[in-house]
Amino acid sequence: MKELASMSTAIIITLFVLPFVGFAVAPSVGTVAATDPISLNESSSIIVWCNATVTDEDGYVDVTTVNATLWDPADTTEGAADNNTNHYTNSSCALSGGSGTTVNAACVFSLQYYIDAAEWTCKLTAVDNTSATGTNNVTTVTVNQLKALSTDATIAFSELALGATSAEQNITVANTGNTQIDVSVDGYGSSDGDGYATVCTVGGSEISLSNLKYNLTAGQDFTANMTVLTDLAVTLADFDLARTTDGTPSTKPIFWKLKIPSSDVGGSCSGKIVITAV
Amino acid sequence: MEDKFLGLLALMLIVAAVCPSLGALVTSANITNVAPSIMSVSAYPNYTNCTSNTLGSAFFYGSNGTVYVQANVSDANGYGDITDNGYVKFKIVVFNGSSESDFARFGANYTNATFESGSGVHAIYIASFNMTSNDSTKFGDVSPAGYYRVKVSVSDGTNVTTSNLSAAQNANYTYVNATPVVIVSAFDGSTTDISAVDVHNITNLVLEKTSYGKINFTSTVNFTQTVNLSSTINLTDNFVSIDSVAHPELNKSATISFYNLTLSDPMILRNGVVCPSSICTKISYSGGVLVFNVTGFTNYSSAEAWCGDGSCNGGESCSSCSADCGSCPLPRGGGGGCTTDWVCGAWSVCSNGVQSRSCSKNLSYCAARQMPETERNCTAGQVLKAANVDDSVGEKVVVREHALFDIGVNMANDKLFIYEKLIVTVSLLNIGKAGKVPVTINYTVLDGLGNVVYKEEELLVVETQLQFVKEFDVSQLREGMYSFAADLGYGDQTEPARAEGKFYVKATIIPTTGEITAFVNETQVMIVVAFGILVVVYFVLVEKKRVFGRVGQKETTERQ
Repeated sequence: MKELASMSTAIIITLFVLPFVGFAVAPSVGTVAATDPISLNESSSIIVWCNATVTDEDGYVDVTTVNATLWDPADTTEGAADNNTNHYTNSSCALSGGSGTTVNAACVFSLQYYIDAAEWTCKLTAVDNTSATGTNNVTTVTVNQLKALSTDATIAFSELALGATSAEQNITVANTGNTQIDVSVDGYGSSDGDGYATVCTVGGSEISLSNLKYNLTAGQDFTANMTVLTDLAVTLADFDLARTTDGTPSTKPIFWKLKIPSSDVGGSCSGKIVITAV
Repeated sequence: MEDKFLGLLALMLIVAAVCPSLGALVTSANITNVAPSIMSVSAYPNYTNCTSNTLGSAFFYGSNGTVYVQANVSDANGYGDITDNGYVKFKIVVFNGSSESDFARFGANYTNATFESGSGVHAIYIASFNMTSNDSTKFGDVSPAGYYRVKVSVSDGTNVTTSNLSAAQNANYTYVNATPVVIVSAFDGSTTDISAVDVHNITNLVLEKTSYGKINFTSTVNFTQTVNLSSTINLTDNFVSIDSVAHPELNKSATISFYNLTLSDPMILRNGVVCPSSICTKISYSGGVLVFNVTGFTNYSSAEAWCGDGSCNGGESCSSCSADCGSCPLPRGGGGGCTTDWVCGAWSVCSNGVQSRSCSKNLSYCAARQMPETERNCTAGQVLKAANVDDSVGEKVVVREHALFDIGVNMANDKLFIYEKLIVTVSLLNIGKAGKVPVTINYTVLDGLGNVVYKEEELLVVETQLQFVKEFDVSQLREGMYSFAADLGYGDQTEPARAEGKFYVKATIIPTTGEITAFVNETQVMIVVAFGILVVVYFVLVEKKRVFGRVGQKETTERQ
């Protein structure tokens, strides 16, 4: 009986106070503007943002936090854990410019170069002092495809005698983009289209492109099984170098051999091999 | 709203286009350097270009004292390894047959050569060097042995290769310095002082042995190499010999004198047989000194002329030597006709122990003495004595394997009138070794006093025989008897070849420049006489008619 009496007292107090303080209002998130499209930088991260104006009728100071989630809905869910390839969150967006009932929220993400090339969604959520929330999102944030690679800077055949065929040297190709790639290869001596594999310092002598060959498999015979480098780019359609998913670039080698002519060439020879991601 | 959506989509497609990423890596290789090599080293007296030269191994100061050097070098890395990074140098050393030593004037160091051309691994470099009069003579393999030698050093910037001792990598050459040594120690008298003249250009070179004779070269003599004239020229008693093949510089015209001869009237022999007049010209013989001119050199001597030597000389006449001079004409008168001489050709090659010749009368229609002998005995391949040759003289006719020509002439008009041309059929027959032989025929016409009144030379090439008709313009000759002769000369001639004939020039009436000379021929006389007779008959008939006319008229008048 005594417990019933206390409960009645609380209800009575509440009924008296409410007419004097009013009810709290949840914040709302305006239109979300995001970096779009997103063009990645090979082998590095990139900063993108999702911005919006948050309104709280209780005054902008009532907004305590704004957080954001950026994810590839085709590959994951909003509530999934962060993943460098498809899901990023920012739990504390920057608030600035508060005045009256509005404040600007800026949510920044640092995206890796190998994230999904897809249409991403960016969603902002505002929370006020009463933990009331308001959300809005944009679903058309385009992440561009990035076909990129990196290779060794040089391939050195060291010193070779006239008429000799070099030991096998390999070039390592790394996928530094966000999609699987093939490669094309071509080469030249001193200028594109000159038909040489190298030009040499003695008397302007040259080594023909036909003397430089490659293969994707190691240990091949120069004459029988290796492919002549050409002036026009040739695509290696079976190269199939996947993108990384953990930040360590995927790599694959190409094996090379150089045959020195039997005469009329000497000195230091140099040329260019061009490998293009396709 | 829809347009805005389409614009946004297009923008997305553009930015979504893939910009391919590429990696251009540098290929590098160092090629092992191969040392350059020397393919050949050559020396030339003249240099045109890398392919159009004639190798030279003998150089002479004054004529070709500049040594042009050409080095063909190679580098397996390409000739550019030499041109870009290295050099080619040359050096001249003295090589004694087994070892090399520095040529002091050139020095111990190599001197740069000049790049001329290159292709692939080969390059041509050239250089030149002037030898001087102070440089020692080197005769090559003539004792003492010694050459000048061109050596080459080639570098590609890393390796240096120098000529080894092989023939290919060196160019040896001989050299005769400014003054070729001309040795005349065996000569005396008026012999030219060699030390006082330029041996490259000696005019009037005289070589004399006062005991035997003298050679006076009438053409300039140019010595380009050392020569010992004491051994090269054999001047002895009544004999001089020069090997003009070995010493072409001495194959020049000269006046030769033989001293202390005991002959009464010598004739000149060339290589043992009578010297053709086209080569030898006797100048004089007096006091035992025979002087004669020659056009070039081989062996010369002299011998007493003999009857049958083919030349009417040495006091021979038709009465003393009809074999050479022909038969004497018969005494005129008593026969009512003319007389003439025999003209004989040269003796044939000795065959089966017999030589023959042909003789014919100079004027076929005239009487002549007995024909000279047309056959005589001989021995083939051996020294033959002429029919009346003195054994002590021992002059010879030697049958040899070479051309031997006979010449004959036949005058179509041995009587011609002034201003007519002499027409002669000339026959040449080679009865010796067959083959094309260039010959020279000297035609001469002599008047009754022996003066040459016409002379002509003709050059021909005859293989076996040749006959042709030739006209001679002798229109300037006056009336009288003339001798015609054709002398045949050719290389390696051992036998004289001469044919003769005579012709008579008669006067006629032919107007000339400003004068009319009285000449008559029989035909013209006949025409004139016949014309005169006709004129006389005409006038007689006319007069007779006139007289008869008057008589008739008078009789008629009288009857009336």
